[in-house]
Amino acid sequence: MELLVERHHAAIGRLLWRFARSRADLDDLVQDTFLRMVRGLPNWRAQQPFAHWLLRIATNVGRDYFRRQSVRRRWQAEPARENEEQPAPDAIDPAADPAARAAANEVKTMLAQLAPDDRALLTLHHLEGWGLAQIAAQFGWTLTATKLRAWRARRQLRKLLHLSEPS
Amino acid sequence: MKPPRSQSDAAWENLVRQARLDAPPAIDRAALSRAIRAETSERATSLGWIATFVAAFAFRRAVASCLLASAALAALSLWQARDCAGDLAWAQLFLGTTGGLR
Repeated sequence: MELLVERHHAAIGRLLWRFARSRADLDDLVQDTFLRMVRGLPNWRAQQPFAHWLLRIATNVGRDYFRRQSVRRRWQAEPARENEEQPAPDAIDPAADPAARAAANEVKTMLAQLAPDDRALLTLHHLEGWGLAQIAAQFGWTLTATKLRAWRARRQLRKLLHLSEPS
Repeated sequence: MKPPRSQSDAAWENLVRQARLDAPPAIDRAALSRAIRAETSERATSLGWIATFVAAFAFRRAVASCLLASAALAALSLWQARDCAGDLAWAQLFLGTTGGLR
């Protein structure tokens, strides 16, 4: 088990960092992914590459995280920008490239205004550079549905970008 | 995905390009290992219990035990019913159809 963690934690951490808003959240998401892996190991079939299977677990963990955030926001009935959408202070890591971190936080803040599944889709597409076919396969969607969802999400994002533009 | 069509789209594409360079912070490996060890040992315990249960009540053995228990219960009931058959309406009916216990 330690070997599996050793081999895959970097890739999983990198992927989930695209979803997480803070370092604490990242730790939680990575832990959740590996715990789901442990629980799901009896169901893993050897025909499926292990890394792909684990990646699918991680993307679902990320999507669930977005859904939880969305539900929490709805219950709190607060505008998105006023609570969790501002990057947490510990999201700023002094060792990282500050410009890239600031850009990533800005992108995450914009994407956070979308519906959870749209947010997950565009997070993977924009920040991880995944193709729509790959995203469709990960989430178990059809390619047509994914294209349609991407088109709608992009349209929504474009509206938000225009709104946030200084007039 | 379509190419950027306006100034804000171009700015967005630039922002995304820069955001992709953001490297993740280090993961708390110690906490991760602890959580996995705890989960693994918990699963091993629960699976051990399941294995013991399955071994004790293997399917064939369980069926045979159930049949034996049913037969014993039926024999006990009939033995009891035999003593007071005269007072039991259902026993009278049963004796009438089967021709009696003796």
